[in-house]
Amino acid sequence: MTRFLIVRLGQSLLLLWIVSIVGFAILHLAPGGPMSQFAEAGNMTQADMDRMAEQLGLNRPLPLQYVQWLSNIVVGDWGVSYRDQQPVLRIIFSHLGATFELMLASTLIAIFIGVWVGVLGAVWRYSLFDSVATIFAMVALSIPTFWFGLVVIWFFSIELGWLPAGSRMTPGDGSFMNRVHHLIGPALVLALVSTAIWSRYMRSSMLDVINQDYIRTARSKGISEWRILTRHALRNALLPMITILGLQLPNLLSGALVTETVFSWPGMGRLFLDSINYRDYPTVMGILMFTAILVLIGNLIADILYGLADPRIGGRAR
Amino acid sequence: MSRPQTQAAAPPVLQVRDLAITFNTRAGPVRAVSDVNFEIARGETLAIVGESGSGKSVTSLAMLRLLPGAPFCDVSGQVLLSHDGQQTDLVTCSTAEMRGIRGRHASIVFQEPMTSLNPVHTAGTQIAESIRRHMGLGQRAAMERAIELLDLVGIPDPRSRAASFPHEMSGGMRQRVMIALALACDPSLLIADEPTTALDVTIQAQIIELMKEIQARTDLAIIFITHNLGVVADVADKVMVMYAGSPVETAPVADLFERPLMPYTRGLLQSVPRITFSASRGQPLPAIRGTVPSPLALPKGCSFGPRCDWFLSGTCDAGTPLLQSVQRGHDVRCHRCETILQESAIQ
Repeated sequence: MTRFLIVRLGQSLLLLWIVSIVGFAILHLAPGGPMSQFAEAGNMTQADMDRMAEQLGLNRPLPLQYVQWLSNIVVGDWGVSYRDQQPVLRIIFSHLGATFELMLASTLIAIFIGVWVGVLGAVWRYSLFDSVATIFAMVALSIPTFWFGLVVIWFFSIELGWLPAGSRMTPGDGSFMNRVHHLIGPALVLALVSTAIWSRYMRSSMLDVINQDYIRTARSKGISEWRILTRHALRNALLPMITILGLQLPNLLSGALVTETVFSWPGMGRLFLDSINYRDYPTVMGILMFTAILVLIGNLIADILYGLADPRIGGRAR
Repeated sequence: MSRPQTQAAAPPVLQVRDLAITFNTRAGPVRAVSDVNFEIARGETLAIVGESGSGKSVTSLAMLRLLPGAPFCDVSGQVLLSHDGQQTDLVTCSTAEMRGIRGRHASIVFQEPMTSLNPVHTAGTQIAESIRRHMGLGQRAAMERAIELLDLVGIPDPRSRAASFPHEMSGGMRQRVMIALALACDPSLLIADEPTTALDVTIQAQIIELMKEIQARTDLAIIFITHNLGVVADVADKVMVMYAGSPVETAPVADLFERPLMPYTRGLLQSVPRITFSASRGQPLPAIRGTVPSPLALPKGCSFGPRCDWFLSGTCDAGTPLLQSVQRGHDVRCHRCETILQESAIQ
């Protein structure tokens, strides 16, 4: 276990380094830059601008800028935002709660619906239910998130008036029910793709399990089909899903970016997009590295959980 | 095997009449098994023998309704199980009745011990589940009974083994757990579907010895499905030889080995390697030529015809032979069994 963790840690650090290089390069390749933002404001002279670039280190060669950034972040200095001079980490943490709330809600929806659709699709294979579920999953996977978000807003907020069109709460309210009410729309939109993915993986995993010999053994004991499903099949079929949980994290984060923008949800995704538009290099790089670390930790946790949930991998000789 | 006289009048534990199984495949209905008739009394062991694809495993699964149901598969005929002073037809009884019988009155041990146990539950839990289902015991009492059963099937240190997961055990030990599971509720019928095929030879002998011991103690009726004739000679009272989905010869075990009448049975017996058979030393082991026909394309007349040394054109391909009794308890499905009987009497 210790050896496994050390190897994984080494791999993770290498991966983070590569992500930082690629991210940094792409960010600086994009046309424009922080200086053009200042120029647009229109009230700065060329001398001011030059002094500013000198101060921020933006006039130095790119590799040097990267090394400077890297050496700062290694010692824990994530830099300050160009926009409001706040430390990047503080900005990220102030947006983290909203994103986690959204991701948690949509993951719960996706797991609950996806698992059951998948299980029943496998049990009633080739039935009407299975065919309809398959078609729905394919459609859900093909729908662009931003479009579905707009449709939800149009239908539930504008036509029916049931849900608020955006933001995390009504200013001045912020009660639990008010927050839940605001959460429904974006959580459903973000859950759409994951629900489809979960149902497909769950269906194939379940199909694999219900044809196993031990299910026949369970049936030969005379226990009910429901008990066979829940006690004998579901647990085995859910094991590989733990890995899916880890793999879904990047999907969720990129989905959150779009969903948060459509629903003006004050989370990390929207912050990321705003920061890119503003060419706020420290914040963009900060969010990039932060989410990369999240994904790596998520996958590590999924692997460890898998080991704990499967007695064959846990290696406990009891 | 000797049985108390009082039970002679009791109906047989299991009576199978005209059992037939049809699979509805894309290529149309396929008759996998037909004309299966036999009965088995308490304490008796019936061996069902045949090559791969002869329908022996399908027959055993069909008896406990463990095949995929309609519309994939149709089972007809009667499978009458005696329990609690009544007879239930396992082909037509309700699903709820069937569940009350499986694991309680009739159990099955499968061929593959490595995959037949659930990997995420301990051995004890899996045995206790059946006991709780049928005997109405609580969690703790059921687990105690499971530990007793593990002890009964010869697992050392049963208490700690009950808490072991299947992957922590060897194949032989897992098969012992399967047997303990099958015997958990003291059934009257045990179906053993090639229980030793996947095991080492020494472990095979131990498992067979264990089953004989348990039978002697509990008067269990056993249907032993195998393709190993050595095992048949060791365990069986009666033997049913199956070929291409139908029984072709049924006889008491000694009779079958001394006077096999169906050419197929003779071929099977000849193809068993023997160390003592010195006359044939250096000779290739006789084998039955050809292969088992596909149930999609059975030959006309006798299904064994094309592979048979006794094949007589005009007789054997004229019509399907019927199972006929040649001696008491010895039935053969062969057009030429009279001739074969006479010739074997001369020899």
